Amino acid sequence: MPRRDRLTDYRVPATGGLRRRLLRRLRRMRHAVDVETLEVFEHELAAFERAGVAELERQRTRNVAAASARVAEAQARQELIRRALQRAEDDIRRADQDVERLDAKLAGHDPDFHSYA
Amino acid sequence: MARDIVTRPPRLRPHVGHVSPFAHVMVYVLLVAMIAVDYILLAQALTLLLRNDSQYGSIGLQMYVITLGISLAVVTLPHVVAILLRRVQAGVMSRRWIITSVVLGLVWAAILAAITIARIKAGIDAQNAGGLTGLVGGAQTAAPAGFSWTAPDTIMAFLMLGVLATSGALSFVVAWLTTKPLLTAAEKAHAQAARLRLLRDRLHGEAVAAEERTRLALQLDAHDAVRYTGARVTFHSRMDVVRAQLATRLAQRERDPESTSQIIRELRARRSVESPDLAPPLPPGASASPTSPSAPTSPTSPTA
Repeated sequence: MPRRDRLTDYRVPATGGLRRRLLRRLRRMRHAVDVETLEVFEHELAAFERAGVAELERQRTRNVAAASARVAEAQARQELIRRALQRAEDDIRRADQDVERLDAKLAGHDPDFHSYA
Repeated sequence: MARDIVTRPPRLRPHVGHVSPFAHVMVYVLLVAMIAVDYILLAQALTLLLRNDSQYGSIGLQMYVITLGISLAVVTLPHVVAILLRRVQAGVMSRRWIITSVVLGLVWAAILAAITIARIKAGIDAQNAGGLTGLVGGAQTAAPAGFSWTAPDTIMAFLMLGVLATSGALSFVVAWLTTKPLLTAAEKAHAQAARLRLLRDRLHGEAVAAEERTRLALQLDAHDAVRYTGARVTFHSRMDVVRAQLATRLAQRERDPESTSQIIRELRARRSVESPDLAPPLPPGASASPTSPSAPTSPTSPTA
């Protein structure tokens, strides 16, 4: 599949900021770490994780919509081509009739025109 | 970029061997316009020609009919001649119709000559009469003038002849240009059919391409689901890295290995309780050992 036909890539949320923030806070309260602090940390981690998962869900939803739009577009084009093919067949039939008529005229027996000469 | 033949199909003539309706209408508009011009011109000339009679109002309708007939003949005779010659050329009509067309051309030339001569003669007569004959008592000028090339009536007569001949030649040229030879028409019809077949083949190619595109679009969703899973796995592993580094730092900060291991165990328990379903299919050793390769701590290894 060519590059331009693919959907947009997923952008995974970066965790560098979160890690830096948590480690800095940990360094500041280096002697006061207890279970409550760990709970706060854990809350922050879980919140970040939920936000990231929601972000990925959003991208997934967007991509699903884009994919269904592509499917609809491709099917519309297919339908258009089918109609164009039918029309082309009709045109070919008519052109063949014209060719036959003109060839008959050239051969000398013209159904449209009767020579009185 | 090539022209998209589906959304913008090439413009192809619906019928070959026929003039398009618009061109047909325009030809007749042109003919009618030239007939109108000739009519106006001839109306003036014939009024002048018949001024002795028209002053009594005796030949009104007759003059209109004659004027209209002459202007019709001047325009339509070359048209008919051109069509006859085309048909003879195409082999539709026999060669004997050439005689007819030559006779028609001679009639056309005779009409023009007669009009011109009559116009010149009327000018001479008017000059000789010196005015309207109905007005009695007019002073008769003595010298009867003969034919003169530079007389105003003569010049006007030849100008009128030029206009009439031009309109006739124009109708001939128009008919000659709008009627194509039959052989050319047949060739054009064959070319048209070939072009249509080419278009149909290209449309078949486009149909195959469109089917392929539809198939790819249908696969697109499945591929995207796979990539979504990959993105989630990546994100969870990144979160695991963050947790592991945090735990490692805790272990380094806390001098007491016992409480450190307690904290680590608690952290892991909370995480496994909070998100059991979001856990990615990672090998258990990767997420269970919080010892990052940068900081291997000895107390965490036996507790993991």
